[in-house]
Amino acid sequence: MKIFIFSWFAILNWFSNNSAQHNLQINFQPVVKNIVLQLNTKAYFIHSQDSIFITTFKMYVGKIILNDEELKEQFVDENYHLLNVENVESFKIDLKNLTLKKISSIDFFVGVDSIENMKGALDGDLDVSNAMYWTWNSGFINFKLEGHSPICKSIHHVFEFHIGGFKHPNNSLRKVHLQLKTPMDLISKNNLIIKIDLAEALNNIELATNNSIVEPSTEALKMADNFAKMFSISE
Amino acid sequence: MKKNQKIVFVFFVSTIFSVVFFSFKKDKIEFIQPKGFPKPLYDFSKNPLTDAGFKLGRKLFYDPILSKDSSTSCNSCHLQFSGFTHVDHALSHGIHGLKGNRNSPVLVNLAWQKFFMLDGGVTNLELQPLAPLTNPVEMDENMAHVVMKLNRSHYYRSHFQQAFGDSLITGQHVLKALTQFLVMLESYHSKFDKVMNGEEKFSVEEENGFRFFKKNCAACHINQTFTDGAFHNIGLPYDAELKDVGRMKITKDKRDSLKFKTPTLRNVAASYPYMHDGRFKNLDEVIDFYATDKSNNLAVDKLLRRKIIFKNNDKKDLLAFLKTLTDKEFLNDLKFRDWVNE
Repeated sequence: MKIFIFSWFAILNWFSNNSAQHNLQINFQPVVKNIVLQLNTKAYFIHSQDSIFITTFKMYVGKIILNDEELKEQFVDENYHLLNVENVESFKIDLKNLTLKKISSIDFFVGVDSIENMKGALDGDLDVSNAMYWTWNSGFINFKLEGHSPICKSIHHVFEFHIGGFKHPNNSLRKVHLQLKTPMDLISKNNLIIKIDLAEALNNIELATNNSIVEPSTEALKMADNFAKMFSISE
Repeated sequence: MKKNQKIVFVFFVSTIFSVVFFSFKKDKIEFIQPKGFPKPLYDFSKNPLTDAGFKLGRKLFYDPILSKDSSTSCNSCHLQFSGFTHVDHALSHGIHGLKGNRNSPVLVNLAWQKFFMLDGGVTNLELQPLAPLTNPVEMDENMAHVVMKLNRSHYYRSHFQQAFGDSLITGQHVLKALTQFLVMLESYHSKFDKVMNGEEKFSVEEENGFRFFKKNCAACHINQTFTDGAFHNIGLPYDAELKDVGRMKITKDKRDSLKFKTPTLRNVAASYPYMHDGRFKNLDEVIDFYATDKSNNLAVDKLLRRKIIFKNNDKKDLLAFLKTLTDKEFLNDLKFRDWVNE
Protein backbone atom coordinates (compact mmCIF):
# COMPACT_ATOMS: atom_id res chain seq x y z
CA MET A 1 0.00 0.00 0.00
CA LYS A 2 2.76 2.40 1.01
CA ILE A 3 4.60 1.67 -2.18
CA PHE A 4 1.48 2.36 -4.16
CA ILE A 5 0.96 5.78 -2.54
CA PHE A 6 4.60 6.64 -2.96
CA SER A 7 4.62 5.78 -6.62
CA TRP A 8 1.39 7.69 -7.13
CA PHE A 9 3.02 10.82 -5.64
CA ALA A 10 6.08 10.25 -7.76
CA ILE A 11 4.00 10.11 -10.89
CA LEU A 12 2.08 13.24 -9.89
CA ASN A 13 5.30 15.06 -9.12
CA TRP A 14 6.84 14.08 -12.41
CA PHE A 15 3.70 15.14 -14.25
CA SER A 16 3.42 18.55 -12.58
CA ASN A 17 7.08 19.33 -13.21
CA ASN A 18 6.80 18.51 -16.85
CA SER A 19 3.50 20.17 -17.60
CA ALA A 20 4.03 23.15 -15.31
CA GLN A 21 2.30 26.19 -16.70
CA HIS A 22 3.80 29.61 -16.70
CA ASN A 23 2.56 33.09 -17.38
CA LEU A 24 4.26 35.82 -19.34
CA GLN A 25 3.57 39.51 -19.47
CA ILE A 26 4.76 41.30 -22.57
CA ASN A 27 5.28 44.96 -21.88
CA PHE A 28 5.38 47.20 -24.91
CA GLN A 29 7.10 50.53 -24.33
CA PRO A 30 6.55 53.31 -26.85
CA VAL A 31 9.60 55.55 -27.16
CA VAL A 32 11.00 58.07 -29.58
CA LYS A 33 14.73 57.51 -29.87
CA ASN A 34 14.95 56.03 -26.37
CA ILE A 35 12.89 58.83 -24.80
CA VAL A 36 9.61 57.58 -23.31
CA LEU A 37 6.59 58.69 -25.32
CA GLN A 38 4.45 61.42 -23.80
CA LEU A 39 1.45 62.73 -25.65
CA ASN A 40 1.07 66.42 -26.55
CA THR A 41 3.60 68.00 -24.21
CA LYS A 42 6.97 66.66 -25.21
CA ALA A 43 8.94 67.72 -28.26
CA TYR A 44 10.99 65.05 -29.98
CA PHE A 45 13.75 65.52 -32.50
CA ILE A 46 14.09 62.93 -35.21
CA HIS A 47 16.24 63.24 -38.32
CA SER A 48 15.95 67.00 -38.54
CA GLN A 49 16.31 69.60 -35.88
CA ASP A 50 12.56 70.20 -35.97
CA SER A 51 10.46 69.40 -32.97
CA ILE A 52 7.72 66.81 -33.32
CA PHE A 53 4.74 66.51 -31.01
CA ILE A 54 2.69 63.30 -30.94
CA THR A 55 -0.99 63.48 -30.08
CA THR A 56 -2.25 59.97 -30.93
CA PHE A 57 -0.61 56.59 -31.11
CA LYS A 58 -2.63 53.40 -31.54
CA MET A 59 -1.57 50.12 -33.05
CA TYR A 60 -2.78 46.56 -33.45
CA VAL A 61 -0.54 43.68 -32.42
CA GLY A 62 -1.78 40.16 -32.98
CA LYS A 63 -1.09 36.46 -33.35
CA ILE A 64 1.82 36.48 -30.93
CA ILE A 65 3.92 33.35 -31.26
CA LEU A 66 6.53 32.42 -28.66
CA ASN A 67 9.17 30.00 -29.88
CA ASP A 68 11.46 27.62 -28.07
CA GLU A 69 13.70 26.93 -31.03
CA GLU A 70 15.76 24.31 -29.22
CA LEU A 71 12.80 22.07 -28.41
CA LYS A 72 10.86 23.24 -31.49
CA GLU A 73 7.90 24.16 -29.32
CA GLN A 74 5.53 27.07 -29.81
CA PHE A 75 2.87 28.99 -28.00
CA VAL A 76 0.34 30.77 -30.20
CA ASP A 77 -1.98 33.54 -29.00
CA GLU A 78 -4.65 34.00 -31.69
CA ASN A 79 -5.93 37.30 -30.28
CA TYR A 80 -5.48 40.83 -31.53
CA HIS A 81 -4.57 43.55 -29.07
CA LEU A 82 -5.11 47.26 -29.51
CA LEU A 83 -2.26 49.27 -28.00
CA ASN A 84 -3.34 52.83 -27.23
CA VAL A 85 -1.18 55.41 -25.49
CA GLU A 86 -4.25 56.85 -23.83
CA ASN A 87 -4.76 53.54 -22.02
CA VAL A 88 -1.51 52.49 -20.34
CA GLU A 89 -2.86 49.05 -19.44
CA SER A 90 -3.31 48.23 -23.12
CA PHE A 91 0.49 48.01 -23.50
CA LYS A 92 0.64 45.04 -21.15
CA ILE A 93 -0.32 41.75 -22.75
CA ASP A 94 -0.76 38.77 -20.45
CA LEU A 95 -0.19 35.36 -21.94
CA LYS A 96 -1.35 32.67 -19.56
CA ASN A 97 -0.86 28.94 -19.10
CA LEU A 98 2.21 28.58 -21.28
CA THR A 99 3.66 25.10 -21.36
CA LEU A 100 6.96 26.39 -22.77
CA LYS A 101 9.88 26.59 -20.41
CA LYS A 102 12.07 28.79 -22.52
CA ILE A 103 11.63 31.41 -25.21
CA SER A 104 14.31 32.03 -27.78
CA SER A 105 12.30 34.19 -30.20
CA ILE A 106 8.94 35.87 -30.67
CA ASP A 107 6.81 36.57 -33.75
CA PHE A 108 3.75 38.77 -34.13
CA PHE A 109 1.78 40.79 -36.62
CA VAL A 110 1.53 44.54 -36.72
CA GLY A 111 -2.04 44.95 -37.87
CA VAL A 112 -5.08 42.78 -38.43
CA ASP A 113 -5.02 39.98 -40.99
CA SER A 114 -7.44 39.61 -43.91
CA ILE A 115 -9.44 36.81 -42.27
CA GLU A 116 -10.45 39.07 -39.37
CA ASN A 117 -11.07 41.90 -41.84
CA MET A 118 -13.65 39.80 -43.68
CA LYS A 119 -15.47 38.49 -40.61
CA GLY A 120 -18.04 41.22 -40.00
CA ALA A 121 -18.75 43.05 -36.75
CA LEU A 122 -16.28 41.92 -34.05
CA ASP A 123 -15.98 42.59 -30.34
CA GLY A 124 -13.44 43.74 -27.77
CA ASP A 125 -10.27 45.25 -29.20
CA LEU A 126 -11.63 44.68 -32.72
CA ASP A 127 -14.95 46.49 -32.07
CA VAL A 128 -15.37 49.30 -34.60
CA SER A 129 -16.11 51.76 -31.78
CA ASN A 130 -12.35 51.80 -31.11
CA ALA A 131 -12.09 54.19 -34.08
CA MET A 132 -9.53 51.99 -35.81
CA TYR A 133 -11.75 51.17 -38.75
CA TRP A 134 -12.39 52.63 -42.21
CA THR A 135 -16.07 52.76 -42.97
CA TRP A 136 -16.24 53.68 -46.69
CA ASN A 137 -13.49 51.28 -47.72
CA SER A 138 -13.92 48.52 -45.17
CA GLY A 139 -10.89 47.53 -43.20
CA PHE A 140 -8.97 47.98 -39.99
CA ILE A 141 -6.47 50.77 -39.52
CA ASN A 142 -3.41 48.84 -38.36
CA PHE A 143 -1.38 51.78 -37.11
CA LYS A 144 -2.40 55.32 -36.26
CA LEU A 145 0.10 58.08 -35.51
CA GLU A 146 -0.96 61.72 -35.33
CA GLY A 147 0.73 64.90 -34.20
CA HIS A 148 2.17 68.16 -35.38
CA SER A 149 5.51 69.69 -36.25
CA PRO A 150 6.55 73.11 -37.57
CA ILE A 151 8.19 71.30 -40.48
CA CYS A 152 4.81 70.09 -41.84
CA LYS A 153 3.49 72.30 -44.62
CA SER A 154 -0.10 71.42 -43.74
CA ILE A 155 -2.99 73.18 -42.03
CA HIS A 156 -1.99 73.69 -38.36
CA HIS A 157 1.24 71.82 -39.25
CA VAL A 158 -0.38 68.49 -38.44
CA PHE A 159 0.61 65.06 -39.64
CA GLU A 160 -1.69 62.04 -39.69
CA PHE A 161 -0.70 58.53 -40.61
CA HIS A 162 -3.51 55.97 -40.69
CA ILE A 163 -1.83 52.88 -42.08
CA GLY A 164 -3.98 49.94 -43.11
CA GLY A 165 -5.39 48.01 -46.04
CA PHE A 166 -5.70 44.25 -46.36
CA LYS A 167 -6.57 43.79 -50.02
CA HIS A 168 -4.01 43.09 -52.72
CA PRO A 169 -1.93 45.04 -53.77
CA ASN A 170 -2.18 47.27 -50.69
CA ASN A 171 -1.87 44.72 -47.91
CA SER A 172 -0.14 46.59 -45.08
CA LEU A 173 -0.04 43.73 -42.56
CA ARG A 174 3.55 43.19 -41.41
CA LYS A 175 5.18 40.32 -39.52
CA VAL A 176 7.79 40.99 -36.87
CA HIS A 177 10.39 38.47 -35.74
CA LEU A 178 12.50 39.23 -32.67
CA GLN A 179 15.36 37.01 -31.57
CA LEU A 180 16.44 37.00 -27.94
CA LYS A 181 20.21 37.15 -27.41
CA THR A 182 19.97 34.44 -24.82
CA PRO A 183 16.87 32.26 -24.40
CA MET A 184 14.65 33.47 -21.59
CA ASP A 185 13.81 31.03 -18.80
CA LEU A 186 10.11 31.27 -18.02
CA ILE A 187 10.50 29.50 -14.69
CA SER A 188 12.59 32.32 -13.25
CA LYS A 189 11.33 35.28 -15.32
CA ASN A 190 7.88 36.17 -16.56
CA ASN A 191 8.20 39.63 -17.98
CA LEU A 192 9.42 40.69 -21.40
CA ILE A 193 9.91 44.33 -22.40
CA ILE A 194 9.63 45.25 -26.06
CA LYS A 195 10.41 48.79 -27.10
CA ILE A 196 8.54 50.47 -29.95
CA ASP A 197 10.63 53.29 -31.40
CA LEU A 198 8.29 55.58 -33.35
CA ALA A 199 11.25 57.41 -34.89
CA GLU A 200 11.81 54.28 -36.99
CA ALA A 201 8.28 54.50 -38.42
CA LEU A 202 9.02 58.04 -39.64
CA ASN A 203 12.51 57.15 -40.80
CA ASN A 204 12.24 57.73 -44.57
CA ILE A 205 9.17 59.96 -44.48
CA GLU A 206 9.59 63.59 -45.62
CA LEU A 207 7.30 65.17 -43.05
CA ALA A 208 7.37 68.56 -44.80
CA THR A 209 5.37 67.28 -47.75
CA ASN A 210 4.36 63.71 -46.91
CA ASN A 211 2.30 64.31 -43.79
CA SER A 212 -1.05 62.69 -44.51
CA ILE A 213 -1.64 59.03 -45.35
CA VAL A 214 -5.24 58.07 -44.63
CA GLU A 215 -6.11 55.25 -47.00
CA PRO A 216 -4.62 52.04 -48.38
CA SER A 217 -1.92 53.14 -50.86
CA THR A 218 1.67 52.65 -51.92
CA GLU A 219 2.64 55.45 -49.50
CA ALA A 220 1.04 53.44 -46.71
CA LEU A 221 3.02 50.35 -47.72
CA LYS A 222 6.24 52.35 -47.55
CA MET A 223 5.58 53.24 -43.92
CA ALA A 224 4.38 49.71 -43.13
CA ASP A 225 7.76 48.45 -44.32
CA ASN A 226 9.33 50.43 -41.47
CA PHE A 227 7.26 48.73 -38.78
CA ALA A 228 9.50 45.73 -38.16
CA LYS A 229 12.44 48.01 -37.39
CA MET A 230 10.54 49.75 -34.57
CA PHE A 231 10.70 46.79 -32.21
CA SER A 232 13.55 45.71 -29.97
CA ILE A 233 13.70 43.52 -26.88
CA SER A 234 15.17 45.07 -23.73
CA GLU A 235 17.25 42.28 -22.23
CA MET B 1 -77.82 27.01 -18.09
CA LYS B 2 -74.71 26.76 -15.99
CA LYS B 3 -73.32 24.05 -18.22
CA ASN B 4 -73.96 26.24 -21.25
CA GLN B 5 -72.10 29.09 -19.64
CA LYS B 6 -69.19 26.80 -18.97
CA ILE B 7 -69.03 25.70 -22.60
CA VAL B 8 -69.16 29.31 -23.79
CA PHE B 9 -66.41 30.21 -21.34
CA VAL B 10 -64.15 27.35 -22.47
CA PHE B 11 -64.80 28.23 -26.09
CA PHE B 12 -64.03 31.88 -25.40
CA VAL B 13 -60.76 31.11 -23.60
CA SER B 14 -59.58 28.68 -26.24
CA THR B 15 -60.38 31.22 -28.99
CA ILE B 16 -58.33 33.89 -27.25
CA PHE B 17 -55.53 31.43 -26.63
CA SER B 18 -55.35 30.34 -30.26
CA VAL B 19 -55.50 33.94 -31.54
CA VAL B 20 -52.65 34.91 -29.24
CA PHE B 21 -50.74 31.77 -30.14
CA PHE B 22 -51.07 32.22 -33.88
CA SER B 23 -50.31 35.92 -33.89
CA PHE B 24 -47.26 35.14 -31.80
CA LYS B 25 -46.26 32.46 -34.24
CA LYS B 26 -46.73 34.78 -37.18
CA ASP B 27 -44.45 37.22 -35.41
CA LYS B 28 -41.58 34.75 -35.24
CA ILE B 29 -38.67 35.92 -37.31
CA GLU B 30 -37.47 33.48 -39.87
CA PHE B 31 -35.27 33.96 -42.90
CA ILE B 32 -36.88 32.34 -45.93
CA GLN B 33 -34.87 30.81 -48.74
CA PRO B 34 -37.18 31.68 -51.66
CA LYS B 35 -37.62 29.21 -54.48
CA GLY B 36 -35.12 29.68 -57.29
CA PHE B 37 -32.80 32.01 -55.36
CA PRO B 38 -29.10 31.16 -55.06
CA LYS B 39 -27.55 30.32 -51.69
CA PRO B 40 -27.32 33.37 -49.41
CA LEU B 41 -23.83 34.78 -48.85
CA TYR B 42 -24.50 36.15 -45.38
CA ASP B 43 -23.19 33.93 -42.58
CA PHE B 44 -26.18 33.53 -40.24
CA SER B 45 -24.25 31.24 -37.88
CA LYS B 46 -22.38 34.20 -36.36
CA ASN B 47 -25.56 36.21 -35.85
CA PRO B 48 -28.56 33.91 -35.29
CA LEU B 49 -31.80 35.75 -36.00
CA THR B 50 -34.11 36.29 -33.05
CA ASP B 51 -37.33 38.20 -32.56
CA ALA B 52 -35.66 40.48 -30.05
CA GLY B 53 -32.66 41.11 -32.32
CA PHE B 54 -34.83 41.87 -35.35
CA LYS B 55 -37.06 44.29 -33.43
CA LEU B 56 -34.06 46.00 -31.91
CA GLY B 57 -32.51 46.39 -35.36
CA ARG B 58 -35.78 47.81 -36.65
CA LYS B 59 -35.90 50.29 -33.76
CA LEU B 60 -32.33 51.41 -34.51
CA PHE B 61 -33.09 51.69 -38.24
CA TYR B 62 -35.83 54.22 -37.52
CA ASP B 63 -34.04 56.07 -34.70
CA PRO B 64 -32.26 59.36 -35.55
CA ILE B 65 -30.10 58.81 -32.44
CA LEU B 66 -27.64 57.23 -34.88
CA SER B 67 -26.86 60.70 -36.29
CA LYS B 68 -24.74 63.35 -34.61
CA ASP B 69 -27.58 65.80 -33.98
CA SER B 70 -30.47 63.28 -33.85
CA SER B 71 -31.84 64.61 -37.13
CA THR B 72 -31.29 61.72 -39.52
CA SER B 73 -32.15 58.03 -39.32
CA CYS B 74 -31.48 55.20 -41.78
CA ASN B 75 -35.12 55.57 -42.76
CA SER B 76 -34.53 59.20 -43.81
CA CYS B 77 -33.04 57.96 -47.09
CA HIS B 78 -34.42 54.40 -47.14
CA LEU B 79 -38.23 54.48 -47.21
CA GLN B 80 -40.15 51.24 -47.28
CA PHE B 81 -42.82 52.19 -49.86
CA SER B 82 -40.13 52.84 -52.47
CA GLY B 83 -38.21 49.64 -51.80
CA PHE B 84 -36.13 51.28 -49.04
CA THR B 85 -34.60 54.04 -51.11
CA HIS B 86 -35.10 57.83 -51.17
CA VAL B 87 -37.78 58.05 -53.81
CA ASP B 88 -37.84 61.16 -56.03
CA HIS B 89 -34.41 62.28 -54.77
CA ALA B 90 -31.54 62.08 -57.24
CA LEU B 91 -29.14 62.82 -54.38
CA SER B 92 -30.33 62.46 -50.81
CA HIS B 93 -29.89 65.10 -48.15
CA GLY B 94 -28.45 64.06 -44.84
CA ILE B 95 -27.46 65.98 -41.74
CA HIS B 96 -27.83 69.82 -41.94
CA GLY B 97 -29.48 69.29 -45.36
CA LEU B 98 -26.09 68.42 -46.89
CA LYS B 99 -26.02 66.46 -50.11
CA GLY B 100 -23.75 63.60 -51.12
CA ASN B 101 -22.84 62.61 -54.65
CA ARG B 102 -24.78 59.37 -54.99
CA ASN B 103 -28.34 58.14 -55.28
CA SER B 104 -29.44 56.16 -52.25
CA PRO B 105 -29.65 52.42 -53.10
CA VAL B 106 -32.60 50.13 -52.39
CA LEU B 107 -32.24 47.78 -49.43
CA VAL B 108 -33.52 44.41 -50.53
CA ASN B 109 -32.36 40.80 -50.58
CA LEU B 110 -29.11 41.86 -48.91
CA ALA B 111 -28.24 38.33 -47.78
CA TRP B 112 -27.28 37.59 -51.39
CA GLN B 113 -25.10 40.65 -51.83
CA LYS B 114 -21.32 40.25 -51.95
CA PHE B 115 -20.32 43.90 -52.22
CA PHE B 116 -21.96 46.91 -50.62
CA MET B 117 -21.90 50.57 -51.70
CA LEU B 118 -22.00 51.43 -55.41
CA ASP B 119 -18.20 51.15 -55.51
CA GLY B 120 -18.05 47.92 -53.48
CA GLY B 121 -15.95 49.52 -50.74
CA VAL B 122 -17.72 47.49 -48.06
CA THR B 123 -17.54 43.71 -48.17
CA ASN B 124 -19.67 42.58 -45.23
CA LEU B 125 -23.30 43.49 -44.58
CA GLU B 126 -22.65 43.92 -40.85
CA LEU B 127 -20.19 46.73 -41.52
CA GLN B 128 -22.27 48.53 -44.14
CA PRO B 129 -24.29 50.71 -41.69
CA LEU B 130 -21.00 52.34 -40.63
CA ALA B 131 -20.62 54.05 -44.00
CA PRO B 132 -23.67 56.36 -43.77
CA LEU B 133 -23.25 56.60 -39.99
CA THR B 134 -19.80 58.21 -40.29
CA ASN B 135 -20.22 60.08 -43.59
CA PRO B 136 -20.05 63.84 -42.80
CA VAL B 137 -22.94 64.61 -45.19
CA GLU B 138 -25.16 61.75 -44.03
CA MET B 139 -25.19 61.11 -40.26
CA ASP B 140 -21.75 62.50 -39.31
CA GLU B 141 -21.47 60.26 -36.24
CA ASN B 142 -18.98 57.73 -34.89
CA MET B 143 -19.72 54.38 -33.31
CA ALA B 144 -18.07 55.19 -29.98
CA HIS B 145 -20.46 58.12 -29.51
CA VAL B 146 -23.51 56.11 -30.63
CA VAL B 147 -22.61 53.40 -28.10
CA MET B 148 -22.29 56.04 -25.37
CA LYS B 149 -25.71 57.54 -26.22
CA LEU B 150 -27.41 54.15 -26.37
CA ASN B 151 -25.91 53.07 -23.05
CA ARG B 152 -27.63 56.06 -21.41
CA SER B 153 -31.04 54.75 -22.48
CA HIS B 154 -32.91 52.31 -20.23
CA TYR B 155 -35.00 51.25 -23.20
CA TYR B 156 -31.98 50.24 -25.25
CA ARG B 157 -30.10 48.65 -22.36
CA SER B 158 -33.01 46.32 -21.61
CA HIS B 159 -33.58 45.52 -25.28
CA PHE B 160 -29.91 44.75 -25.92
CA GLN B 161 -30.08 42.52 -22.84
CA GLN B 162 -33.01 40.67 -24.42
CA ALA B 163 -31.36 40.37 -27.82
CA PHE B 164 -27.77 39.59 -26.89
CA GLY B 165 -27.84 38.70 -23.19
CA ASP B 166 -25.78 41.77 -22.30
CA SER B 167 -27.11 45.16 -21.26
CA LEU B 168 -23.72 46.78 -21.88
CA ILE B 169 -24.12 47.96 -25.46
CA THR B 170 -21.15 47.52 -27.82
CA GLY B 171 -20.48 48.53 -31.41
CA GLN B 172 -20.58 44.88 -32.38
CA HIS B 173 -24.08 44.38 -30.99
CA VAL B 174 -25.39 47.59 -32.59
CA LEU B 175 -24.20 46.33 -35.98
CA LYS B 176 -25.48 42.78 -35.43
CA ALA B 177 -28.93 44.09 -34.46
CA LEU B 178 -29.13 46.36 -37.51
CA THR B 179 -28.06 43.44 -39.68
CA GLN B 180 -30.84 41.24 -38.29
CA PHE B 181 -33.36 43.78 -39.54
CA LEU B 182 -31.60 44.42 -42.86
CA VAL B 183 -31.16 40.77 -43.77
CA MET B 184 -34.90 40.19 -43.30
CA LEU B 185 -35.75 42.72 -46.04
CA GLU B 186 -36.55 39.96 -48.51
CA SER B 187 -38.64 40.60 -51.62
CA TYR B 188 -39.90 37.53 -53.47
CA HIS B 189 -43.66 38.02 -53.78
CA SER B 190 -43.78 40.07 -56.99
CA LYS B 191 -45.88 39.09 -59.98
CA PHE B 192 -42.67 37.83 -61.60
CA ASP B 193 -42.16 35.38 -58.70
CA LYS B 194 -45.78 34.26 -58.86
CA VAL B 195 -45.46 33.61 -62.57
CA MET B 196 -42.24 31.66 -62.02
CA ASN B 197 -44.00 29.57 -59.36
CA GLY B 198 -46.92 28.90 -61.68
CA GLU B 199 -49.42 30.87 -59.58
CA GLU B 200 -50.10 33.62 -62.13
CA LYS B 201 -49.59 34.32 -65.81
CA PHE B 202 -47.79 37.17 -67.60
CA SER B 203 -49.84 39.33 -69.95
CA VAL B 204 -48.76 39.24 -73.60
CA GLU B 205 -46.85 42.52 -73.14
CA GLU B 206 -45.06 41.27 -70.02
CA GLU B 207 -44.23 37.98 -71.69
CA ASN B 208 -42.67 39.80 -74.68
CA GLY B 209 -40.84 42.12 -72.30
CA PHE B 210 -39.44 39.15 -70.37
CA ARG B 211 -38.18 37.61 -73.60
CA PHE B 212 -36.50 40.90 -74.56
CA PHE B 213 -35.04 41.20 -71.05
CA LYS B 214 -33.54 37.70 -71.10
CA LYS B 215 -31.91 38.44 -74.44
CA ASN B 216 -30.52 41.92 -73.71
CA CYS B 217 -30.34 42.63 -69.97
CA ALA B 218 -29.98 39.37 -68.07
CA ALA B 219 -26.20 39.06 -68.54
CA CYS B 220 -25.76 41.53 -65.67
CA HIS B 221 -29.20 41.43 -64.06
CA ILE B 222 -28.94 37.70 -63.52
CA ASN B 223 -30.99 35.15 -61.59
CA GLN B 224 -33.75 35.87 -59.08
CA THR B 225 -31.68 38.59 -57.41
CA PHE B 226 -31.48 40.52 -60.71
CA THR B 227 -27.84 41.46 -60.23
CA ASP B 228 -24.46 39.87 -60.87
CA GLY B 229 -23.05 41.91 -57.98
CA ALA B 230 -20.18 43.00 -60.26
CA PHE B 231 -18.97 46.40 -61.51
CA HIS B 232 -19.55 47.71 -65.01
CA ASN B 233 -19.06 50.90 -66.97
CA ILE B 234 -22.32 51.26 -68.86
CA GLY B 235 -21.24 54.43 -70.67
CA LEU B 236 -22.81 57.12 -68.54
CA PRO B 237 -20.91 60.38 -69.14
CA TYR B 238 -18.71 61.51 -66.21
CA ASP B 239 -20.26 64.26 -64.11
CA ALA B 240 -17.49 66.83 -63.60
CA GLU B 241 -19.26 68.38 -60.62
CA LEU B 242 -20.00 65.20 -58.68
CA LYS B 243 -16.55 63.80 -59.57
CA ASP B 244 -17.53 60.19 -58.88
CA VAL B 245 -15.11 57.69 -60.42
CA GLY B 246 -16.94 54.67 -58.99
CA ARG B 247 -15.04 51.45 -58.33
CA MET B 248 -11.67 53.11 -59.01
CA LYS B 249 -12.07 55.05 -55.77
CA ILE B 250 -11.57 51.74 -53.95
CA THR B 251 -9.17 49.80 -56.17
CA LYS B 252 -7.12 52.77 -57.49
CA ASP B 253 -7.02 50.80 -60.75
CA LYS B 254 -7.62 52.91 -63.87
CA ARG B 255 -9.41 50.01 -65.51
CA ASP B 256 -12.11 50.38 -62.84
CA SER B 257 -12.82 54.01 -63.70
CA LEU B 258 -16.57 54.79 -63.91
CA LYS B 259 -17.56 51.25 -63.03
CA PHE B 260 -20.48 50.93 -60.63
CA LYS B 261 -22.13 47.92 -59.05
CA THR B 262 -25.07 46.42 -60.95
CA PRO B 263 -28.20 47.33 -58.96
CA THR B 264 -30.96 44.80 -58.40
CA LEU B 265 -34.15 45.46 -60.37
CA ARG B 266 -36.44 44.27 -57.60
CA ASN B 267 -39.12 46.98 -57.07
CA VAL B 268 -37.44 49.06 -59.74
CA ALA B 269 -40.65 50.84 -60.78
CA ALA B 270 -41.09 52.15 -57.22
CA SER B 271 -37.51 53.29 -56.66
CA TYR B 272 -37.01 56.20 -59.09
CA PRO B 273 -34.87 58.14 -59.97
CA TYR B 274 -32.18 55.91 -61.50
CA MET B 275 -28.43 55.39 -61.94
CA HIS B 276 -25.70 55.96 -59.32
CA ASP B 277 -26.39 59.70 -59.29
CA GLY B 278 -30.12 59.57 -59.98
CA ARG B 279 -29.70 61.32 -63.34
CA PHE B 280 -32.68 59.58 -64.97
CA LYS B 281 -36.10 60.50 -63.65
CA ASN B 282 -38.03 57.51 -64.93
CA LEU B 283 -37.63 54.11 -66.57
CA ASP B 284 -38.36 55.54 -70.04
CA GLU B 285 -35.20 57.64 -69.80
CA VAL B 286 -33.24 54.58 -68.63
CA ILE B 287 -34.48 52.49 -71.55
CA ASP B 288 -33.74 55.34 -74.00
CA PHE B 289 -30.20 55.48 -72.64
CA TYR B 290 -29.67 51.76 -73.27
CA ALA B 291 -31.05 52.22 -76.78
CA THR B 292 -28.22 54.63 -77.72
CA ASP B 293 -25.28 53.22 -79.65
CA LYS B 294 -22.16 52.73 -77.48
CA SER B 295 -20.11 50.67 -79.88
CA ASN B 296 -17.48 53.43 -80.28
CA ASN B 297 -16.86 53.92 -76.56
CA LEU B 298 -13.99 51.58 -75.69
CA ALA B 299 -14.36 52.25 -71.95
CA VAL B 300 -17.83 50.74 -71.96
CA ASP B 301 -18.27 47.17 -70.80
CA LYS B 302 -17.95 44.69 -73.67
CA LEU B 303 -21.44 43.37 -72.97
CA LEU B 304 -22.87 46.77 -73.90
CA ARG B 305 -20.57 47.74 -76.76
CA ARG B 306 -23.24 47.00 -79.28
CA LYS B 307 -26.51 48.60 -80.14
CA ILE B 308 -29.50 47.10 -78.39
CA ILE B 309 -32.17 47.14 -81.07
CA PHE B 310 -35.65 48.04 -79.91
CA LYS B 311 -38.40 47.30 -82.42
CA ASN B 312 -42.11 48.06 -82.47
CA ASN B 313 -43.42 47.60 -78.94
CA ASP B 314 -40.15 46.45 -77.33
CA LYS B 315 -39.79 49.51 -75.07
CA LYS B 316 -43.37 49.28 -73.88
CA ASP B 317 -43.11 45.55 -73.34
CA LEU B 318 -39.85 45.82 -71.41
CA LEU B 319 -41.40 48.45 -69.17
CA ALA B 320 -44.39 46.19 -68.56
CA PHE B 321 -42.05 43.37 -67.57
CA LEU B 322 -40.02 45.56 -65.21
CA LYS B 323 -43.23 46.52 -63.44
CA THR B 324 -43.86 42.85 -62.62
CA LEU B 325 -40.87 43.07 -60.26
CA THR B 326 -42.84 45.30 -57.89
CA ASP B 327 -43.60 43.38 -54.70
CA LYS B 328 -46.54 45.07 -52.95
CA GLU B 329 -46.44 42.60 -50.05
CA PHE B 330 -42.85 43.68 -49.34
CA LEU B 331 -43.49 47.40 -49.82
CA ASN B 332 -46.45 47.26 -47.41
CA ASP B 333 -45.24 44.59 -44.97
CA LEU B 334 -46.19 45.77 -41.49
CA LYS B 335 -43.29 43.98 -39.84
CA PHE B 336 -40.86 46.41 -41.48
CA ARG B 337 -42.73 49.49 -40.21
CA ASP B 338 -41.63 51.77 -37.43
CA TRP B 339 -43.19 50.25 -34.32
CA VAL B 340 -42.72 53.10 -31.90
CA ASN B 341 -43.98 51.37 -28.77
CA GLU B 342 -42.13 48.11 -29.01
